[in-house]
Amino acid sequence: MDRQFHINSPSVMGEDIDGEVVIMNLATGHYFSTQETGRLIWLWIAQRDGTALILRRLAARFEAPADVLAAALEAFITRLLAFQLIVEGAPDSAQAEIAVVAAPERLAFAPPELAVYTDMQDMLLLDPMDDVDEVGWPSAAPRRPAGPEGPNRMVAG
Amino acid sequence: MAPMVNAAGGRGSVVSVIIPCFNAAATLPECLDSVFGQDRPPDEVLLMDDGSTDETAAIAQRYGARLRFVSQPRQGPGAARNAAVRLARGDVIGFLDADDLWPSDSLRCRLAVLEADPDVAAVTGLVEHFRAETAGRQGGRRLPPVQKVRIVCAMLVRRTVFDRIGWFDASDRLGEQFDWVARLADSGLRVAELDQIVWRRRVHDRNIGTRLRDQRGEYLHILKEMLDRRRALAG
Repeated sequence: MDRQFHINSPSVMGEDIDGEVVIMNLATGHYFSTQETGRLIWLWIAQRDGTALILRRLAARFEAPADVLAAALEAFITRLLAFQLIVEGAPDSAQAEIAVVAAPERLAFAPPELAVYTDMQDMLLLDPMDDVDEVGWPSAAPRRPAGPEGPNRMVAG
Repeated sequence: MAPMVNAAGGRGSVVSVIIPCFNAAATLPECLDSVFGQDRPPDEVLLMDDGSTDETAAIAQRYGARLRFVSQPRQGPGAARNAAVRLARGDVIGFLDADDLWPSDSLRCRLAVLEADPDVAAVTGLVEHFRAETAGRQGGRRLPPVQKVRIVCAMLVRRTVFDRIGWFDASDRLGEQFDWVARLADSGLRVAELDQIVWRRRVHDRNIGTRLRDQRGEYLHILKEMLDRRRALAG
């Protein structure tokens, strides 16, 4: 079943910095780090790719059985939901039309990992979070560019 | 620089209070009154004006010689704090923002911890939030009334801490205190925590975090720097 999620803004922000996605939840004061596979999945979720499309992207990039990829993705999403980093939205059936080109040489698959930190909680919770809307937030959902591989360009390479 | 005699006639610590200030005339008198009203008075109060264009200088003048007023062209709160620490004569430094207050026993209680244990580098405590009239309908709605906090405004710090971990980030980005506290946490220096309110924080429409809400992404860069630093330290 295809499911779609988006970043739980405005309290959650994430940014891809030098190959590592750093995420903070200003509502809980926790911050997070994810790299490699987790980074890719976060960036795909941020551009509102559904799970079916994400699985196709993973299969195109990594050498692993489909059930392994699906289980790893589900576990990672469960973790993101548990920390209130993402929320579920309505699936976008148009994503079935998006073509995903397989990498010439697929890589060994490493399950996504999410590191959780609580040591700056008191500092992050100080943020007043007043009347914030999504305008200006780095992780506000980007508009999907036109073209079959458009969304993937965000994390190409 | 001549050595200072402290409020106890020379025995014990000399405490400098640093208040960086930018166009905070509306709240400055209440802030200063809370500092001068401490039941253990500070030995030096340094108002570091960061290019204010309001009535800050006139207000400072009303406090006479007991307030040390220094003005610099606007450089941001980190640069203002750094300049003030360099000027401060105390061996213990307390920080307060010009829109916030100290409960009357804040300095005494934190100083007692520092003086009782030479291994403690800094003392913090609880913050109590209070809403200004300008907070707006929803201002600070997510903040708990009282919370534990290690932010600079709640800390009383030995001057030597700056020799060990360095200065505040002077780039004027959001979260310069955040960066400094993270470095303090990573330094291994002991920070004691009091279970009492040491800082009363005014929530209003001009809190830096509120004004710069579209710059909160800078927090993420500070966190990234912190993670990289810790990985490097771990080898």
